[in-house]
Amino acid sequence: MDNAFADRLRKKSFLLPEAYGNEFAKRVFQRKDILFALAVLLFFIGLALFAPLISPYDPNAIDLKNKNLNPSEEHLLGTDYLGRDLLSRVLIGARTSLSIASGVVLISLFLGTAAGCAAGYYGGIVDESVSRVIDIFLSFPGVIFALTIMGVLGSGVFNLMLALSIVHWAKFARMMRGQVLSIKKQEFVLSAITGGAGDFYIIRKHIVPNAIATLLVLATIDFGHVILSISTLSFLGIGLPADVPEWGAMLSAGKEFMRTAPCQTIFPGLAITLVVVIFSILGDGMRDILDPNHEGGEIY
Amino acid sequence: MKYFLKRAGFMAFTVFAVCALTFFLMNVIPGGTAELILKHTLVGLEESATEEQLSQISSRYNLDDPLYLQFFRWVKEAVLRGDIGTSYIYKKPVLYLLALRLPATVQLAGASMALAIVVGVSLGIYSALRENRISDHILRIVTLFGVSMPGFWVALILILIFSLKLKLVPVSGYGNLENLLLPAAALSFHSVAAVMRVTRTSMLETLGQEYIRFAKAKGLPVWKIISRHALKNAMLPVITVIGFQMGSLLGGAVVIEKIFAWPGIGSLLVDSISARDLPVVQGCVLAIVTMFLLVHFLVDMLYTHLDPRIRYG
Amino acid sequence: MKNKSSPLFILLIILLICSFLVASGCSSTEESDSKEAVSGMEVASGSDASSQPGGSSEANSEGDTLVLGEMWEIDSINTVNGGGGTLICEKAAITETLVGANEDFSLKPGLATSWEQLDENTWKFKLRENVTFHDGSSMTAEEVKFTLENVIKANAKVASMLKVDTIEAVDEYTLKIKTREINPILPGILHYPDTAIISPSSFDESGEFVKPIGTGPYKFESFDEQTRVLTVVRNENWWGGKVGLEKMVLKGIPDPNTRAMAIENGEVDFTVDVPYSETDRIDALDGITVEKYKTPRVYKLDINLKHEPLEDIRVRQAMSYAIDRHEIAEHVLYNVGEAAAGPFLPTMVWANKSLSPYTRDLKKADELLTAAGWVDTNGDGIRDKDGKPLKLNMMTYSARPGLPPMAEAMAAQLKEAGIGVEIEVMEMGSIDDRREKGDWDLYLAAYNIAMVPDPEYILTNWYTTNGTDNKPGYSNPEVDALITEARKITDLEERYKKFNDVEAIVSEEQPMIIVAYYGCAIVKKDYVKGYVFDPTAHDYRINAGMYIEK
Repeated sequence: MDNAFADRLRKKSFLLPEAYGNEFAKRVFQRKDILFALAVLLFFIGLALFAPLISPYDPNAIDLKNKNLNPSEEHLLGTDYLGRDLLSRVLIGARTSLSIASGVVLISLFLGTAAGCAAGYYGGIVDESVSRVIDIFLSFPGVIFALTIMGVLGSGVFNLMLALSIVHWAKFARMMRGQVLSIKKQEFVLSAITGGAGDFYIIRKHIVPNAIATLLVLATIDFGHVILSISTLSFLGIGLPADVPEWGAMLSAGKEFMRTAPCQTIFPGLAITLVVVIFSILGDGMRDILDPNHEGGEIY
Repeated sequence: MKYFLKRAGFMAFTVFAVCALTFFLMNVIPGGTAELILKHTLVGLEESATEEQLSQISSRYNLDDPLYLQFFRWVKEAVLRGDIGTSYIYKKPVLYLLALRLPATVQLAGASMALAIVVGVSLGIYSALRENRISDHILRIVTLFGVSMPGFWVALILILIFSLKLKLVPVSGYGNLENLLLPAAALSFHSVAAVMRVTRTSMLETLGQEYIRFAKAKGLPVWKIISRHALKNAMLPVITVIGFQMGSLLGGAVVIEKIFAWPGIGSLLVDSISARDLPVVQGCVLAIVTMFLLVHFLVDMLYTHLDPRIRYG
Repeated sequence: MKNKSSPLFILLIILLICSFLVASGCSSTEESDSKEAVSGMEVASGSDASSQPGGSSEANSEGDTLVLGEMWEIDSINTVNGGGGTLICEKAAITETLVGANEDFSLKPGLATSWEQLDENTWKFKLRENVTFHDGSSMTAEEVKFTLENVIKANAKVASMLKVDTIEAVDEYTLKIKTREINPILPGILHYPDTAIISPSSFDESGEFVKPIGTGPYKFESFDEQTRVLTVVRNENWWGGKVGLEKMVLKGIPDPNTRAMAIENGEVDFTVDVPYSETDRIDALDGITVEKYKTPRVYKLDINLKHEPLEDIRVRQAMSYAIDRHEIAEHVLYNVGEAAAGPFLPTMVWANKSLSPYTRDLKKADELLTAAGWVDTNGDGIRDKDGKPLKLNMMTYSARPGLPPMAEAMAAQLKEAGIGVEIEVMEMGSIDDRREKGDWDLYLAAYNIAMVPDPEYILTNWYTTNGTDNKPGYSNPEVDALITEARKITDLEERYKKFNDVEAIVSEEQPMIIVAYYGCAIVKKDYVKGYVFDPTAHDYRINAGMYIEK
């Protein structure tokens, strides 16, 4: 589907990179929902960046006597099972989730672009082998794959990023490959080839700039999925060290207190949902702009 | 026909590669296999095993052989005799364990899929017919959240409401229809939302077509237009999405089975990974990947069948 | 339209397939219930546990059937190789051991009525007469010999503890056991559930273990391998007298939350260890009682003594002063467990009763750390020395729900004393690996302290220079000497005195920090009567006197 969508995009309105960017930005500003989502996202990023400054308490300071409290003036979102301030932890958690997810998406984007370019551009045996690898990675249910890799690597922020990247890169690679295949047939690329331009030059100057918008849309949609994956892994008890505040881990630890102090499951869950919703809106909206007539709706 | 053969060959290759990958990955996980087998079967997690026990276990399962030899042996047995090993922990053939656990997962996934189709498609149609009215907006927002909520959170909330507050269904257990309801609902939540959204978009597109307008002008009742004309063409993307959802259902089942103590293949896999019960892990991965590939294959076939414009080969 | 079959039609087919799958899943469950149940005395006996209608609290216990929510997944019913020993003996009450234990962990007669040490390496056991197995045969020295020999063959752990040379059935009710070396704890080991006596008919002709046939108050009825539900029924001819329940259904529910919800919903009548934070709320519910007990297990913080800051006794003592054991017991364990003084419960007959837990004293911790040269020079809240910050890692695992939050609480408390701690919750395999490599500082775990009702086993393993569980690398010649001496003493009073000295030394030196005694929360419906908690059981023991009265 991704490739079909990209193909249609090429056929319908092929825009040169520069004009393309302007046009894209213009259309973004016409969409209220995207703007709204962007604003909320910026707000979240701001919270994450300045979390240490604005969080009212040390997120790891315990106060056993004041545990499992409901929201009050002192603790706006209440406290958790060790008396830690939930608001501070949710804020710092935004930092953890957003930064890990960005890392994963960037690494996957990079790996996927490289592999997809190689496969699509060179074709033949390279394409054949890279495509097989991509297919193998895609036929492994993500959670299970990540679970196994985390077992090998052990817990930790960097390891988690690596494990999720290994799971997510294949999607990008497949899409990039499809993009390259269709861009390669475009006249300006063909003329560049006959003009004797080097492979690397063509990839850098023509192919990547033309494919990047589509890839960014995928990255945006995938961002939400990465956040869900992080929290799922944390929920299963693997992923991050226990004292790193992370939404999924908070949920997992808080499920024991679901009835006595439900705040511990409600707020982190809401935070995850909100961020994923924002990325869904952004991703959908951007795809609408790139391809107003796409038939699919969500694929993932 | 050639395409089929190629596809089948490729599927076999993928299954093999995934098994090899699993095998070697599992063997680089830190912690001795023999020691973990002992801890999980004999001495208890927190106790330590003796050297004697370790060497006993290692020689019984040939754990000291080089990895490639172990893997080769496994493949040979699997291909020649259809024997994919014996569990270290349960001391039963893996095929037997899979036969015990697979029905539960298939049942759960089947029920979720059915829910996703029935609820998703009907909500999608409803929402398309009421385009831009209040109910459409509400449904779209609800489903937007539906695809964005973590599955385990949904499961916890469903338990809280339906089991604990309303006491309608049991918390966990297996065997009865009422045991199935909650896990299936939790698992299908995401898929319902996804199917509904696709149905809505594609219905809207179809409803805007010339021939539908023509039918409307002819004065056909709405339900007839939908069932006779619109649905037919709107279902194409829906089927694709269902195929994709099948894959994510299999992945999501791991967490859901864990929460509801559902005796399926997902929870078996997670337990086996931590117990380093390699033959069972291999077996589960084999089963899951095969199912996954088959479903995708079927979806592709359906798709070609339905949309003659697409040709493979 | 070119294609004849419409997508709608296909969709219908998919739906049909789905419902077929669901249906087939259901029916195959039932089939396998009756097929796989090891001995299907009743048709589909396994499914009747799972088919209990939920929601109504009365539904479960028609007649005198008790549904028990067991805390571990029921993986094995094999008593010989150690897989299901504890479950079958203590929780299902199918088998019994030769030796029993009182509340203070002193030994009492079990299937053996008396025992004596004939010489250094020879023991004589007198067996109880008129005991019959569930298959009707009577228990004699031959069967006991058969069981022990099979256990020794299959279970290296028990074998290494027993150190048996030969077993001889002297007459019908007399058994003589010769050990390879002096082994004063032999009777204690025979209290271990893995040594419970079974009938030879527990095996089939080929020597495979099929099902446990013991002498206990309950008889094995069926084990459903798919749902892992074990069913036992009353043994009408139990030698110990009347048995309270007609039938008991044991379901493994490994998640504490699910256990809590299951008993609240009336899906089980008896369970243990609901989340500790829920104990008070559940106790307050109508019809459910929660009782908190101590079990022979401790929360222990292992310290890697080979690492530079931790080899210093002052740092370890300071850590012990920084940890608030009482607060942890109250707010993290919700009083399911208690602040610990030493490795043994004060109720144990051999425990050193003069010890008391370290109480929190940040001033003392500060003095000790400053004396050891650790001062916070750069004001970041973490002490340092020669430019190196006092930062440690702490490993733990999540199989026991108290551990991760306890680790978090301790890390925060240590931080207040200027010691930085990073927690890692890991899989057992990774923990073993790190411990093997010596790549760790602190390790929080729960340890069983009375696998054998005798202090020697634990003290040897933990504190002697080459002890099997002495991964921290503690070595104190005085401790080694005391334990070696005590091993040769058969007089219990004298023995225990030596062990008390060991306890005092390790309490001073803190080679490992014993944080709290492990607790157990028994959760039962009010109509479950006659339950007596056995503190010597590994998790909990089902006693024959339990009954249901509505």
